[in-house]
Amino acid sequence: MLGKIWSFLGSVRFVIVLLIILAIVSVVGILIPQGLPAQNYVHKLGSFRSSIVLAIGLDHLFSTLWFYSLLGFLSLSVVSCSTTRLWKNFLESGRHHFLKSSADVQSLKFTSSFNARGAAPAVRDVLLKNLRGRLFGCSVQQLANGFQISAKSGRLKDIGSLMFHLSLIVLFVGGLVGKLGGFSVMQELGKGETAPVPGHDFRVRCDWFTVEKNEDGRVKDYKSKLAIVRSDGSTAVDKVIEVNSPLTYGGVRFYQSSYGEEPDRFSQAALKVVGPEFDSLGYDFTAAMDSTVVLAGSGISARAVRFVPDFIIDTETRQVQSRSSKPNNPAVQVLLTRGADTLSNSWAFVRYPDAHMGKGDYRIAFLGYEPQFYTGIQIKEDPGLTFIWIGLFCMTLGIIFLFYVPRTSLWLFVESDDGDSCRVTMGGTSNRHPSAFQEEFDKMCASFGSALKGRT
Amino acid sequence: MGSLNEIQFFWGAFIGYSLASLAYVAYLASEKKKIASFATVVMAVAFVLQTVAMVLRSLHVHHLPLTNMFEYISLFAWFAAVFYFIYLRIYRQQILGAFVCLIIFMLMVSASLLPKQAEEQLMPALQSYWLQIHVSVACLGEAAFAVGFAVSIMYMLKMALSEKSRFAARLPDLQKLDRIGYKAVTVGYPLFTVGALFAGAIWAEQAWGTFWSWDPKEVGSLVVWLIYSAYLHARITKGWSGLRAAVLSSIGFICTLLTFFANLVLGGLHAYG
Repeated sequence: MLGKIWSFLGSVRFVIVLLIILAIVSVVGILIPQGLPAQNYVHKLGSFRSSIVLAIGLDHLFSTLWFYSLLGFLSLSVVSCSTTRLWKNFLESGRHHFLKSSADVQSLKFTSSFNARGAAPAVRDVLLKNLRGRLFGCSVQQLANGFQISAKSGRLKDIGSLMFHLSLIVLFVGGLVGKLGGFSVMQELGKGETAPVPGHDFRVRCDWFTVEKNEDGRVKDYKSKLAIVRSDGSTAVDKVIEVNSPLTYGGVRFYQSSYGEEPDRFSQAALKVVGPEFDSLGYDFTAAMDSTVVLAGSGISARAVRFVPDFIIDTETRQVQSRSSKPNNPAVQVLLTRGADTLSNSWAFVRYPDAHMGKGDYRIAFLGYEPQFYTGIQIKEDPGLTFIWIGLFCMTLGIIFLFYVPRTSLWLFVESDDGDSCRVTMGGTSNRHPSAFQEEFDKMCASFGSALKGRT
Repeated sequence: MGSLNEIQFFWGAFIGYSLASLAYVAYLASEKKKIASFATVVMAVAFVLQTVAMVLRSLHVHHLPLTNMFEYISLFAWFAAVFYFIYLRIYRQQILGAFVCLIIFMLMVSASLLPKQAEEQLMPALQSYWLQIHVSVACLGEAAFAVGFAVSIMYMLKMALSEKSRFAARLPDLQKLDRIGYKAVTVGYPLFTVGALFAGAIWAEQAWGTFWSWDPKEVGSLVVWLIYSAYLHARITKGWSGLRAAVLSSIGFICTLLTFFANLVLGGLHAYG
């Protein structure tokens, strides 16, 4: 009974049906958007249809138990088929079958014959050497008046088939190990910040982050200089990472994933002060966040003390807040001092150059700013990685063997006429295209013929 | 060498493939060998023009033209033409050209409708040598599937038409069609597996931090792979070889096209212009 089930699982019919089911299920997974919040499905499909979708997990189809079961059946099928049919094929391809007589050669698709000088054993040895040089596996049968050689090539095809099928299991195992034993987290890091790495005693630090843009303002590249900091504070390794070029340390991979603008600071701001000490155009200067700039010739110090990307003020409490982290209404608060005196401490706006909240003789203009970016790093540890690499490598090798190695069988009869010459009758079959194989077959015959005629 | 020249060559190829398709259809109707030869020559000219267009574009943008849908479909059509010429040399079935050339013509029509702007600057995720490997090998595999599709259409036509039909008589016999359709898939399947799925997975690991993320296009490619895997198994199984295998091969190719055009609808990680 168990044996019957096992061979059913390994049957080609079963795997065809299973592959088609998997294909249909996957199409469903494309048509129904995956991983949205439940209310989206209710909104889109109505309560009845969405309840079905949610009940059988069509909203996260590829991680449902029943989808895993389908993959499990596929694995069983692969193992069953590999251990029975594919293994038998592999053994069979190494077995040699001999023809009854040289007359049988004539029934083969490709035939040829030639005379060879030398005694039958010597001719046999030359042929064997030539055939093995062409990667044929050979076996010899003793005949009354000579020998029969059976030569086969293309065993790699069966090895390839086994490799290809079994690698699929390796990939599945790799995926499963990664899912169960690995982690993946997103980490936002500002310049100089460090973050812990889950499950390890080292930390990751961002030394700098940069966004490179084209003349037309489109993003060309973004890069972070990351450093791995050991528990004693020393730097283990550092690397400039970018998309397509992650950092690996201690089995953990750090990928450049995204970036964003810091909501509470800028990198550089262009500012202007208008006041009695300056001419009518005012005094232009740039300032970093929280650093004091002395305005030449006036004895006035300016300092950007606060930045919000989306300025809003509570009319009752007079508290300044940011409505969002988007730069909808960037505003800066600048403190102007001379010695111990505060001259002004007011807000200025990029979008509204005429609005000013300060009293007194001084006005600040916020001309623009360079955002301070943070970097978005994906930190991932995947213990299944080795399996995946081995699986992909073996599967690639397997598929090349399986599809591109031709299978050829040859039979050669070496029959001695008298003591010093032989008649070689040669025939063969191949799964290659007939005209291509004919060419190869003819070349082989010519090469064998010339190798043997040269002998004395 | 401005981009204008390159687009003109594309339109030249477009006209060439259209003419060749017309000639091939005329050949289907008339049985005159001369028309088929004419069609093949016109197709070869179109192919050369398209080659020039792609070379000019590569020189203009300093990378292979593989980065948007227009460039991909154009390459797809070009590879399909390459396979057809190889097939023509091996199997000498000009009647196959009528079917392949129509597919190429339809691909060129869809390419012509898409934005053709050449883009020198690649987005960061695409700045990798895996772009060339992943996209070109996958495309090569898909082009082989296109030839397999053309042959399976011929197979189904031959089965559907009565034996007395003169047209059916001109098609190669079923066994031969089955065999050359299978050959196309055996060329396409390894290329697609390694190029689309494996190279894609390796690249995704580097760029996105995961081998596989069930992105719509990834799943679409998986569907294509599953169907062709089913086809390859079907062909060696009693009751599944012949017609059912031909049907699977055609569904496989239709899914290939859907996966490709779904870019326009579904978005996801693979949505590039």
